[in-house]
Amino acid sequence: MNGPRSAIVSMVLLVGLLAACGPTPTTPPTALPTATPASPPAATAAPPQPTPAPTEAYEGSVNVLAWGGYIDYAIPPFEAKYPQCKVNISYFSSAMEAINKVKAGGVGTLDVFFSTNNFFDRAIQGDLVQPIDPSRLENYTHLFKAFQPGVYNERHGAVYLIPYTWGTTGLIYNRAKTGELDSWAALWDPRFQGRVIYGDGVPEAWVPAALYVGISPEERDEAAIEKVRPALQQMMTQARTLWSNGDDLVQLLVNGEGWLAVGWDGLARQAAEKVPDITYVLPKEGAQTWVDGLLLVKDAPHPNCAYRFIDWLISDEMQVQEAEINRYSPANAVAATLIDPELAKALFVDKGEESVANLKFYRPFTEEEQLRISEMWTEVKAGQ
Amino acid sequence: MATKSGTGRAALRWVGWLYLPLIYLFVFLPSLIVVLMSFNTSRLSFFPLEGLSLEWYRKLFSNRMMWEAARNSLVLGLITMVAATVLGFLFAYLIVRFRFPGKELLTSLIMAPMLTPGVIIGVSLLSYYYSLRIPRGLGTTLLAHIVLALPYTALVIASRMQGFDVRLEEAARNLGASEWTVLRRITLPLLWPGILAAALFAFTISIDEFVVTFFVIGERSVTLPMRIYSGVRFGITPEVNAMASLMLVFSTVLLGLALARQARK
Amino acid sequence: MSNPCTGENRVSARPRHGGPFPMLFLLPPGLYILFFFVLPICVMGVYSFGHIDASYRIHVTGSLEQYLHFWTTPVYPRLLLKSLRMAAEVTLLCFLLGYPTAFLLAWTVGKRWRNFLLASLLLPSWTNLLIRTYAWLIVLGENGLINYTLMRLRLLKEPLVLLFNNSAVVTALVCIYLPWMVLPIYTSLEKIDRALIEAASNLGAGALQLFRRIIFPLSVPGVIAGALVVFVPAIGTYLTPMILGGTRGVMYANAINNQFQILNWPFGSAMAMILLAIVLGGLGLYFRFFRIEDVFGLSYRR
Repeated sequence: MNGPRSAIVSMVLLVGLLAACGPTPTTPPTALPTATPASPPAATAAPPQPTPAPTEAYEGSVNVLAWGGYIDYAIPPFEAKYPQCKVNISYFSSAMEAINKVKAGGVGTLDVFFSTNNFFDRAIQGDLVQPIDPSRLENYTHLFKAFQPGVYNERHGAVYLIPYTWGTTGLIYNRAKTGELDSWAALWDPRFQGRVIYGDGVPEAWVPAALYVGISPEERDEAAIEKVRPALQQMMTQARTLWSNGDDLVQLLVNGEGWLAVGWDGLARQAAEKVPDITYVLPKEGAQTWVDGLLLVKDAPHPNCAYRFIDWLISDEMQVQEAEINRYSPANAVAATLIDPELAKALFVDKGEESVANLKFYRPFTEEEQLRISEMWTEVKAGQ
Repeated sequence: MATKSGTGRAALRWVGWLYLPLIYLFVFLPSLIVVLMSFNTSRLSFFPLEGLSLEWYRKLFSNRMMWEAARNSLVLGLITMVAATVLGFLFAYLIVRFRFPGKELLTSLIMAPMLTPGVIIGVSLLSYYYSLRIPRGLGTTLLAHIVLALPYTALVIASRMQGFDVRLEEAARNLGASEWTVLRRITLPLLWPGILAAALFAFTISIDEFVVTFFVIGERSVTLPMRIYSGVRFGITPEVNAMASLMLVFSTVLLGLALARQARK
Repeated sequence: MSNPCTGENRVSARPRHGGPFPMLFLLPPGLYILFFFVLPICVMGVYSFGHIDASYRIHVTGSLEQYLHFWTTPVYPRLLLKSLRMAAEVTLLCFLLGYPTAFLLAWTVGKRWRNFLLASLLLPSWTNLLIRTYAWLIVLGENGLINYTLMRLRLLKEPLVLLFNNSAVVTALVCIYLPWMVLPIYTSLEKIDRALIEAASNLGAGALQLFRRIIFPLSVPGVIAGALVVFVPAIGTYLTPMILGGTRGVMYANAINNQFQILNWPFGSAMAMILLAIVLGGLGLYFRFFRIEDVFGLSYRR
């Protein structure tokens, strides 16, 4: 029959048209079992101790797992500079999610992923990552001295985490709606019922609630969990909704859905660009500081490209862009001097080395603590 | 069709004119918003529009990963379409034309995926592939899509086959035609609209399949819904709106073509 | 399709018996479903009778500990109930809105437009589900379409809270599933023999009687099919509630997904098996009284 046949023909033509309109891919489309990268991995497989590669032979691509929307700006210039290192990126929105994804099949396929100083111990214990050789990173010495080998990134005398940004998780609020605030208790204030946006990840949910009920966030035994549970249950009626990815929070704040929230400082600044009344404060009870950086996965199939990529992200150029686009405090000290002084001040990097010399951190969550708190949190959320 | 009283039908028609547009507006509302937002200048989406621009469409065309995902989805959709339609046809022919023990059981089995929540299918396939050490990827996704589409294609074709006068086939057979010729010359051509409908169904199911795909696709491949999921969950940019709008246009054109051909007959 | 003269409108006047031919046809679809639907569910079932160790390896021990854990932790059965209830709500609303739609399409719309209108109902399904859900944020939001318009028109002083609650989720779900309810109902309505209606009408039956006695009963198979096709996926929905439900957005399927995310496959499998048991149980019970072929309009046993 002519009719249906020409419909099929048209469909095929349209498919062809669509295929032709897109830019020509460098890897063939895969219709059947998983595609393998365009060229075989380099001869140097991941050794237990990192050794400098004799020649920089680029493997053709690099597989990256990153926070959503976090480093996309850096990819096109990287690929332009290193055309033999095509970036394959996938995303996550919580540090635990990243660890789980790597655990579930990242070793041997993934090269680089982001994690924080709170979580990278987990990755080391889980045998998911390999040490990084800082001598292979040109820009490593540009980082703040405090972020070079130290408690944030070193274990057993080897460097694992390369810091990318750092920041805090504090109270974000719209001062026009709430007035000036300085305490976590504001999140539970009945005046703001239905106007709070609470965080969905374990650190974001746990720390404010723990401080609110008056215990240290480092106490995470059964007793502490039961003390914090009622506060979180109360938050379920208090909160308008929960956020788990940064852009969602910014959107909710800018749209006026929420007046106050627990969130990362960079997000507050992003929201303030649209709504200047949005303010960020470190509550008097305390707040979590974090360092976010890159880890090299064990048995990474594209180590040379991976090193270039890490080096690229911590370069002066990219760190300046990071500060301007994402508004998180950069880890690169030289970049800190290159950005606009006003911005540097807002990002707390205007005092040179002093800016990061005295950062205080809470003890990272252990595996069992994470699981227990996560279970409690799931129960609280599901009990609605 | 003088089936009801004149005034009854007229009243009904008035109701139709009032009610149907409202329903259609409701069903199309989210899609229309998506199209609207794809022209928004602001990166964040909220109402009202900040301004109109084609920037996201331009950005979309240079978004290599989005197109790779789109390509994967299209290929998956086409293969699913063919495979599910063929399997569905086989099943339909069997069920409608033959009698044998266990027919009801088979019917239930084939219909089962349609009556099983996607999360169960996804999770079971995940366990299955894991236990067999089959690496997850586009292949495993394809297998899942076919399972999902099969009940629908089978149903549509079987449905069509029922209202089909078997005497035409018998006449051909009596005139000496072989079984295959009967199939080729009589059955299939008459079934074409049904087969086409089933194919479109299968394609639709595959192209926007998310829940099951989420479990079986693994980390290294993407389909368009997965890519959009990443783009949306991890920072929605109007590019995904632009992509969704394009898909809407694409499917509308396809549909228009298919219908126009059918109307012509 | 039907021959008014002989009244014959069923194909299988003489269904053929078995023989080698059917086996050829039986093999592919049957095998496929066996290998890629039945077997996976069995594997999942096997995994549910075990536990994971500290390094996330699955040990199948045959123990019922996961099921015990499910029934002794109040959260999970409650979640199951919540999902079932919401699915029922959505199905009911889809029926209330969808039946008139199908009816009007079958009886008031001209033949030329019908195909087009029906097919276009499916068009939104081609737009990504997630994006469509996010679109509701724009419609129902604080400064969204509805609030903005109503406030602009001075019909509202304060914006309505339309988002992050159960109604938002149900609205979005009804919007998504409505076409799938309309189509089967329309199919069964369209199959109704016009001659029947004419005859009854000529015998003096009023419109209401026609509907109550003839049309509606004959459309029941379509209604059931539509209800099934909406209810079952609705139980397993989790993205839409997650995005639009605010703090009340956790559904049974979220919980299952969660378990798999934290690599606790045995418990996740147990949860999935329990859901499956409920769905199958309900279906089994239903199909005691109605044959599966009738529901899907596949009556071939005459």
